[in-house]
Parts: sequence; structure tokens; C-alpha cells
Amino acid sequence: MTKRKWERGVSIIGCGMTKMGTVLDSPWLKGMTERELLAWAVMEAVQDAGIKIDDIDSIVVGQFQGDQMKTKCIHAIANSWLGLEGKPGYSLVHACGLAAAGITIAGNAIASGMEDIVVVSATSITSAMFDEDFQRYRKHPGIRKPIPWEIHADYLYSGFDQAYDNPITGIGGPGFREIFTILQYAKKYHLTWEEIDDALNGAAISLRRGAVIHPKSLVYGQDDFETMAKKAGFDDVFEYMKSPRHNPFVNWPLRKSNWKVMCDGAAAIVLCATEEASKYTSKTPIEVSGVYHTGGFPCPTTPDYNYHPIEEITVRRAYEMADLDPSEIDYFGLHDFNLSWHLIDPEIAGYIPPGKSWKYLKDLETAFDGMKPIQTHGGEIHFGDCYDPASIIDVIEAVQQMRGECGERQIHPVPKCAVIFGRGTGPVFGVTVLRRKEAL
Amino acid sequence: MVLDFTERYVTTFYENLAKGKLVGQKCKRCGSYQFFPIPVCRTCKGTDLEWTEFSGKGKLLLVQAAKGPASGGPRFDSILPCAFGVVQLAEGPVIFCPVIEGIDLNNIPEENRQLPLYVEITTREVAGNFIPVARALR
Repeated sequence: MTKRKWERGVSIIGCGMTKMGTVLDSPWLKGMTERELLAWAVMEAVQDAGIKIDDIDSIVVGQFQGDQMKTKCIHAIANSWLGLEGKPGYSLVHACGLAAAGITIAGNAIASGMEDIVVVSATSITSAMFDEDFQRYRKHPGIRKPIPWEIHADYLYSGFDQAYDNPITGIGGPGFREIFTILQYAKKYHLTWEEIDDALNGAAISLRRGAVIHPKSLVYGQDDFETMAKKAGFDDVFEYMKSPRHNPFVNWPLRKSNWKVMCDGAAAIVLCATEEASKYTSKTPIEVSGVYHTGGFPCPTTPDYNYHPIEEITVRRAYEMADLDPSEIDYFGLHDFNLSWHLIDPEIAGYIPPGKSWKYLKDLETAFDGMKPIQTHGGEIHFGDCYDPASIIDVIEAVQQMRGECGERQIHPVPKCAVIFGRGTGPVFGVTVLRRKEAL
Repeated sequence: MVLDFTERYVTTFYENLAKGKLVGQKCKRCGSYQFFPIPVCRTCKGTDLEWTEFSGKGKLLLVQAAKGPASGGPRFDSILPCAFGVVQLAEGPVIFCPVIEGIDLNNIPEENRQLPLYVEITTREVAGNFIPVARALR
């Protein structure tokens, strides 16, 4: 039988990311193309890892925004822009589930002994599109204009098989599964809509508390919801969160604070053979104990709408590789482009018992100082969602928490084991299990 | 057994939908019904599948209101606002149904409390596309 374990340990030793923002409006990103964003993230990760560019054996780059860049081979841009000529590169279309797929490719290359150091990266501009003249090379790619929602929605749809989907979900839109996920959760556990509202608002409060103190987030330095509530004259932050004026329903039962904020950015991690890590860095290596990723039908097809076989299979395979008992998990990350996933993903992971996530969310126990910390950087909801780079950022937050580098939002005690879920259009689903090397 | 790799799954599905028939497949090996049609049984991974017309009877499991604008573009605006939802067909498969008639769009939370509701599914042309439409039976 296949062992399904790597023969050689693989660790994350470097992390890098841009500050989130938009290339049209944010001074720190204004005028940049995806290339400069990628270079920022990779160079920062290289520096963090203590390696030199020439130490990189290969690079994986997220391709989901390739249409935006007018390229089918984004890795070739990475090769030429990052001094990686003559090195292997891979363009991967795994949308917001990129991280686990990229880590798998990197890990397989390292574990086989073919390579020692691999970078997994992604770069994305979601806020702006090329001027039409770009294709005729009259204007350079730094000239962008705002992207209308209809065109953006087409990008998202292009991540799904539309053979049977187009005339059907054309009405419901890409967000329909998320809404039904919440309705199914409420139905399954006999929750009132008030309890669901409190749970989702609690998640938003916890996430924003982390995001406003993360220097790279979209909302760094801004008020958290508790402060906003006080300034608006509310003694109870939950009353503020239920206020139609301050936090209206956008698509019931999801409110304005329950949806992602799209942005531009890039992220990168450096993976290395664990046995080689000390040659480059004195930082604690964060070992990839388990990883798996899958794809499947666009939506669930069983009466329990929150059961999708790809999730069960992926979790099982990643946990088997890691020999993981879910009680070991100290930190949990997930790709939260809206808050519905905070209800089901911690339970699928075994991080929170079935039917209990809503209570932890409502009681603010998923904040960085809570009993079950989740997405302590603010998640895609408040940190910002730049699609495939965001999946890497979710992994980076786990790594930085496990290294004890998170300052004000640091979890105590420092986590020894983390699980990160990745979800992307397709759908693709990925699970990564990380352990602090000294904790193994 | 010689496998037939010449099936036009997508075209057959839509041609039937245009005739008012919601079709899927039944696996000859394990007896499972499936929707959408594909070359492999999702349950047993067998490849000996036959076309079947669903009865059109089912249960509405979850429902939501679409008030617009339509994500599929302005061509769908003519049927908005409408309810859409998750329906389990009498034969077993669970499908997404883009239009549910007979739902109070102004009281979706309470409508969800009353589920499941029995529905009958027909098809309708909207902007050149045939789509399944379910009618709630109260």
C-alpha cells in the first residue's frame, strides 16, 4: 500500500506578502502591476527565510488571475522577473484553494530529493482591469480602470464547470451555496435566526479585532467594532451589529460585515527540506505534517446540504498523512470569503464539536484571545481577499502564530499545531496540517 | 463490455429540458440516480448508466429570495424577484432549482421554518434558456 507520507520532512521557513490595498487607490500599491506585487512578496519571503534568490530550485505561482494579466503562463513571468531563469516553474489554477495544491507540489519535489527549496506564491489584482487598448500594446499594463462587477462575476464563474450551471445559477449567483450553508446549519441544529445573526456578528467582531492590529491588513489602524459601536452611541456591540443603519442585511442572513472585502496583493512562502532549514534560518521551522487537495461537483448533492464528499475525503487524507488527532489543533484557518464557513469548517475539521461553532462565534471565543482562535489576521472578511494570494496568507498567519511573531494578536500559549482549510471556485478544497518542528 | 464513449451528455440534457423533461441517469450497476448527467456513476464509479426522466416530484429543502440584479446578466431580470432553492427529487438526487413559485418572498425566514414543502417541477424558457421551475404544493 502507498505510504502517503513524505520520506523527507518539508518545512515552511519564509513568509512574505504585500500590504493589502488597491492599485488604483492605495498609495503603497498605486500603479503597480501583478509583477511588482509578486516580487514584493517573494523578496520578503526570501529575506524571511534567510536564503538567496539563487537558492530557489523552483517556483509555483497562482494562475487564477491570468486572464486579468493576459497571460496563460504566469510562472514564466515569475521566472523572468525574479531571476529564476533556467528553473522550473508551475502555473496553478486553484483559485482560493491554491495554497494546499502549491504546498503539495513543492513538498513532493522536496521530499523526493529532486529539490531543496521551493517557493509557493500568487499575485492578484481584483480591483482593476486593463484598458481595452492594452491588447494592442498601446498602453502599458500599469494603466488600469475599475473593473465592473459583471466582468468580475464572469471571472468567478469561469472557475466553475458551466455545462449545467450557467442557466441555473445564473439567477442565484456565485453566493448561493454560502447562503444555503447557513440555512442548513440553522435547520440541522434547530437554531433561531437571532442565534445565527449573533453567531455571524460575533465572528465579524472577532475577525476585525485581529485585522485592525495587523500592519498588512486593509483596515490596519482603523476602529474595531467595539469602538465603532461606542462612537455610535451603542453600549452593546451586538446591538450595533444588528442595526440596519450600521450593518444592514446585504443578502439575508448575511450582513454587510459578513462579506469579504476584495483587494489586490501578493503572497509567498518558502518551503525547504526540514533537515536543511538550520543552514538558512534560526527561526523555528514549521513542518508540513499533512496536506491534501481535491476537486469535485460545484455544489453538494445530498439532503444535508453541508455535506460535500470532497471535504470529508480531503480532511481524512491530510489527517492520515499527519497522524493527526483533531484534539491537537491549537489554531484553525479557513478561507472565509463570507462568514458561512465559520459555522461549518471548524466542525468539519474537528476543531469544534458538531453543532457548537455558532456558540463559540457568538461568545467571541474565536478571536485571537479566545478559546478557539480562528483567522487571527482578520480573514478575507476584514484582512482583505485577493483570491489565490489570500489562501497563502491564511497559511502565513498560522506560521507566524506558531513562531510567536504576531505581537498584539499573538495566541497564548504559542500554537504547536495548526490546520488550514482552503476553498476555491471549481470547487477546489485543500487541507494543510502544520506542526512546529520542536513540537514534533 | 464495449463502452460507448460517443454520448452527448450536455446536448441531450438540454434538448430534453426544452421538451419539458428533466432528465438524469440511473446506474445499472448500483441503481443510483444522478443529476447532472456525466459518464461515471458518482456512487459506485460504474460506467453503465442509462438515461431516465425524473418524475418532477420533490421536496423543497432550503429556499432563498433573489431580488436582483441577476448574476447571469440582465436577460434574467424578467423573472426577478423570485425564490430559488434546493430541491430533493423523489428519485433521490438533490438539485439547485432557480425558480420556486408559491413562496412568500417577503418572509423567507418563516418560509424556511416551514420546510420541507412538496413541489412539482416543470421547465420554462427564460431568455433562450430552459430552466427547471418548481411550484410549491401547499
